[in-house]
Amino acid sequence: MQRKDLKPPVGTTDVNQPASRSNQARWHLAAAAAGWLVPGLGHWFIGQRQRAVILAVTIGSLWVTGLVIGGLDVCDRQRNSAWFILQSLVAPSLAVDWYQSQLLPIKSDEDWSSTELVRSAMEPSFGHPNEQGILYTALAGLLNLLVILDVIYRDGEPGPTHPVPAGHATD
Amino acid sequence: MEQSIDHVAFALHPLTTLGFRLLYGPLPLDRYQIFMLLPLIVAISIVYKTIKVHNLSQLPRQVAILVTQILVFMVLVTSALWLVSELF
Repeated sequence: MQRKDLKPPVGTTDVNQPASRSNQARWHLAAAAAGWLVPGLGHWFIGQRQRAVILAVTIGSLWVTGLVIGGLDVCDRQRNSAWFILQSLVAPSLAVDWYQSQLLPIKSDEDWSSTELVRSAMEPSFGHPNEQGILYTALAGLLNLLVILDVIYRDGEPGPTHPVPAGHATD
Repeated sequence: MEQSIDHVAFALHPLTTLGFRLLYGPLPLDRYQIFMLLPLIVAISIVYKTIKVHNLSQLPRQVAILVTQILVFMVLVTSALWLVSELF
């Protein structure tokens, strides 16, 4: 076989090119931390801005929807400690847990007669709304974990260094 | 007397007069629980495909395909489980 037959097809890059070494794995730990603070922010920092906006809107909407369904009560480290591990993968859940722990819970109908209590009170959620709210916020956390892992390893992906068809270029 | 004043104060509270207090109380969603799965499926599909696709112009099509696949598979599994529960 002649040497020229070993060239990669048109529209692809060669795996063995020396320049491809610069594209090898480089962990983006700071971007990952940013992605934990605000979903999608890590992708924004590494230049994937369109991807960042899509991820931020999707995960943010899911998380906020969970809070609206179940109330701030769904992020409760004391009551739902196992779920809270997943919820805390979106950092603002920690702030919500702290804030809702400062509010006074309404435990009985008599509590509603107390003006002082009602001003700062929160109605705890039970049953389906509570389950749905926890599920939404926990899933937002799990999806954010996926996004954080993607940010860390994104440059380590084979992408540009392996043969990629011309029509599948990254954004 | 004091208690009735408290009731009035409670009724005039801007958040509680609406019945539902956004974020300070749960939404009454007991009837629509099954439909609450749809946003979860869509969110999972969008995030997964946003990470996976190289060209984001393909994202809407890829998301639609994945959402359909998940829904069809869930319907099939549900039907199979219903059938098993009816037969045995």
